[in-house]
Parts: sequence; C-alpha cells; structure tokens
Amino acid sequence: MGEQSSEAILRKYLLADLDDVERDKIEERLFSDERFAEDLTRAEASLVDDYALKVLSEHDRDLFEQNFILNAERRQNLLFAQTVNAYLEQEISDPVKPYRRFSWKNLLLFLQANKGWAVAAGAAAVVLLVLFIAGVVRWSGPNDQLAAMRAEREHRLAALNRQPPSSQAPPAAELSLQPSSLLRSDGELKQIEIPKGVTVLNLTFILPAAQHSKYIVITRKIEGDELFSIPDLSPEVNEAASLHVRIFAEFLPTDDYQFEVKGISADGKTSDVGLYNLRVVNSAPQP
Amino acid sequence: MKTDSTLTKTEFDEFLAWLDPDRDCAADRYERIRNRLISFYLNRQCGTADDLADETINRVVKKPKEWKDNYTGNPMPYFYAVAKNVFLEYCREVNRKIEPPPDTSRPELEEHLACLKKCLAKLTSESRNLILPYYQERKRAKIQRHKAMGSNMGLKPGALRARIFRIRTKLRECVEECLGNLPENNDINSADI
Repeated sequence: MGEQSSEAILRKYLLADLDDVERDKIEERLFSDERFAEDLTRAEASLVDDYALKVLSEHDRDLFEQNFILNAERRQNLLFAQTVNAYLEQEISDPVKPYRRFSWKNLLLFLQANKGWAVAAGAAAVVLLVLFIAGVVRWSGPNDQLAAMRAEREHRLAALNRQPPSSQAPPAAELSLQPSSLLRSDGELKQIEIPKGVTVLNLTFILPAAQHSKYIVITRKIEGDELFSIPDLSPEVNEAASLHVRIFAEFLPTDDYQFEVKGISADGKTSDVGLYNLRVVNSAPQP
Repeated sequence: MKTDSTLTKTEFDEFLAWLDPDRDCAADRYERIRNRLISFYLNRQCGTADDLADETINRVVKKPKEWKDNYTGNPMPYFYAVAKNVFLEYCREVNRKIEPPPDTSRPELEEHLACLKKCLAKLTSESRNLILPYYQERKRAKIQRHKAMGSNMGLKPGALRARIFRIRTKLRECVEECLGNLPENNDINSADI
C-alpha cells in the first residue's frame, strides 16, 4: 500500500467512511502493527489540520463533524490547528505594515498654507494623538511585532533567493566570505561598505566541502539574537564549494554580523558547517 | 452496560507482569493499549471511549492468572477481540447514541495565539521554516507545495510528513503547556525537531 493510498484509507477509516469489512481489516492491523498505528496518529493530525485549513471536501467535512470530532482530546487538537491557521492568516498573509514616519517639514508646510491658531492647534492635537497611539502600540507588543517582521523578512528573502540571476537584478554589492576559523590570525573582521542605491548584498560563503545538497544560513548580530534565516540553499561546486546568498541591504544596517551556515542531510537533520563574520557599513537609508 | 470496575492491587500487578516483566515497560504497554482502545471506540463513534477502554482492560485484568500464564504471543490482538464484544454490548444497550456534533466554528483564539507565538519563537529556525510554509498553502496548492518542499530538502514525502508531525507534536505540547493544560516539562529546543 503506497503512502498516499494508505493515508487516504486511514482518513476514510477516521471519518467512518468504510464498510464494516474494510473497517475490520484496518482495525486488525492497528492492533498488530505498531507502525501502522503510528501512521494512523499522523493521518489523524493531518485530517484535523485539513479541517482547520478548510481544505476538506464538503462530504468529508460533514463526516468530520458527525463522526470524528467526538471527544475532548480531538477538540483540543482541532483548536491547536485552528490557532495555527489563524496565525498564518494574521501574521503571514497580512504582514506588519511599516510605520509611517512623522515629518516636521510636512507639518510646517501645512501650517504655512493654513494660517491660524485653530488649524495649528488642531494639527498639534492630531500629531500628539498619533504619537501617543504609535507609542502605545509599540509598547504593547514588541515581541509580536518583531516576530511578524522577521516572518515577513524571511518570506521576502526566500523569494529573492529563489529567483534565478538575471540582467534585471537590482543593484547589488558583492563579497566573498571565508569561515571564521580561516580568518587571518589578527582576527580582523571582513568589512563591506554598501553604497547608496545598492539594494541587495550578494554574499558568497566559501564552504570547507560540499557535503550536503542543501544548506541554511542563519543571520545574527555578533553575540546577539537571530535576525533571520534563509533555508533551501543549494551549493555551487567549481574549484571550491560555495554558497551564494542574496540579502536585501536594508536588512543589514551598519553593524557586525555573524552568519551561521548549516548543512541539511537527506533525513532532514542539520549539522554545523561554519561561522562567517562580517562588518557592514551601510549608507543606504534604513527601513 | 454491565461493568465491574472493582480491581484488586494483586489483580492489577499480575496484569502488568503479564504485559511485561519490567514494570516500566509494562506501564508503557498499558498506555499504548489504552490509547489504541480509545482510538478504536472513537473510530466507531462511541462518545464514551475512555470508559469503554477501561472496561475492556478491566475484563482482561479479571482473566484468571492461569489463563494469562498460558497465553502466548502479543496480547494486543486479544484486547481487540474483547473490545469488539464490549462494543456489541454497548451498541445493544445505547443503540449507538451519538452526541450532537460540537460547535466547530472558530472560537476566540487570542490566548492560544499568544502561546503559539511564544512556542514558535522557541523552535529552531529550521523547524519554523519547515512547519509554517507547510501549513501556508491551501487546497490544490497544498499538495504541490508539499511535494516541492520535500524535493527541496531531499526528503521523501513520508519522511517530510514524519518530520512535520514531530514538530507539530512538540509545538502542540508547548502550546498546551503554555495554556496550563499540561505540566511544565516540555523542552521544545530538543534536537529531535
């Protein structure tokens, strides 16, 4: 029985959509085959997810509500899946919008064009209100904002790194990096100055060896928290193995950074490949 | 349903010893048998699956020691045979009265969302970058997306599903713990996810 067909039958079993003979066969196997029982547990989670994601057919949806969601444990499981779905809808589909910066120049121009105390007082009141609300919003949920901002950045970076190189690529600065263990003995950080107008940084990470078919690069400030990561990167193997990564310049304001490169093996496990340090001096306007 | 829930300690100890001479292994087998039985009754649409599972186990516990000593092979299929009998009795008595379906419209999730965000932040980058895109797609795109993810990571679809399931299980445990539904013993940073 193939994986897909096995899951399809298990799903029918969970929805009570099998005749008695087929049902008994499944049950006999469930009580004698541990692996098959584990498959059932996974199929159950997948079914609950699909219901929460609203991707079940109307027929299956009806069966789910009538025959499946019968006890507290399954309801708890459904609640979890609905929470994941709600998170995706909130945080991924509708990423955080950037704050609009307040401009004194615009306010002065507005007041010059609209002389009079009443207008000025009204404008001042509005400005104070906006600043107050923005302050409250920032104060009330910094972690959520950061998490959403990170998700949005990783989404954009994944899209950027999936794009094939083309003549219409945005203006970029390029740099090649060696693992920190291969740095010169004085330990000096490699530095790049990103000029104005450059929107993308093309980094080439020299790999000790091309041991993996896929890699992930995790970016953090040196001795700081993770900023973002870029998965699913394929190495290039010429004279030496290397990894080409594109990062929006706006994500790397002037600071010292560390890039942690990990290899991903066929079974999905990761292993350390190297640490790469970089000092960025960024002249581009920051977000 | 006629039940007899009075078990002596001796009966229960003998039962555990029958499952496995090692007490810890026996406890583990007991849990697996009970979970399997609950699943059996739920998948036959019995709302009182927990009670029926306990009744099934009680009947096996009550079997004479001589019977247990003479039993050979995996005990799991025997529980299945008893469960089918219990189910038939249960059917005769309550005529498979199914509880009305619960309201499955989305409840208020604010507290759950706050916990989920905390737990997602505890995941490793790799796990987070695996599970969120997995859930992201809808309907037709879903299957294609999952296939693409598997090939990108060099994983077979089954291996990808297994890994996603492990992450999902850990994430759910973390959320339940955050909500106060589980004792605090979850280490979501463990290497297995």
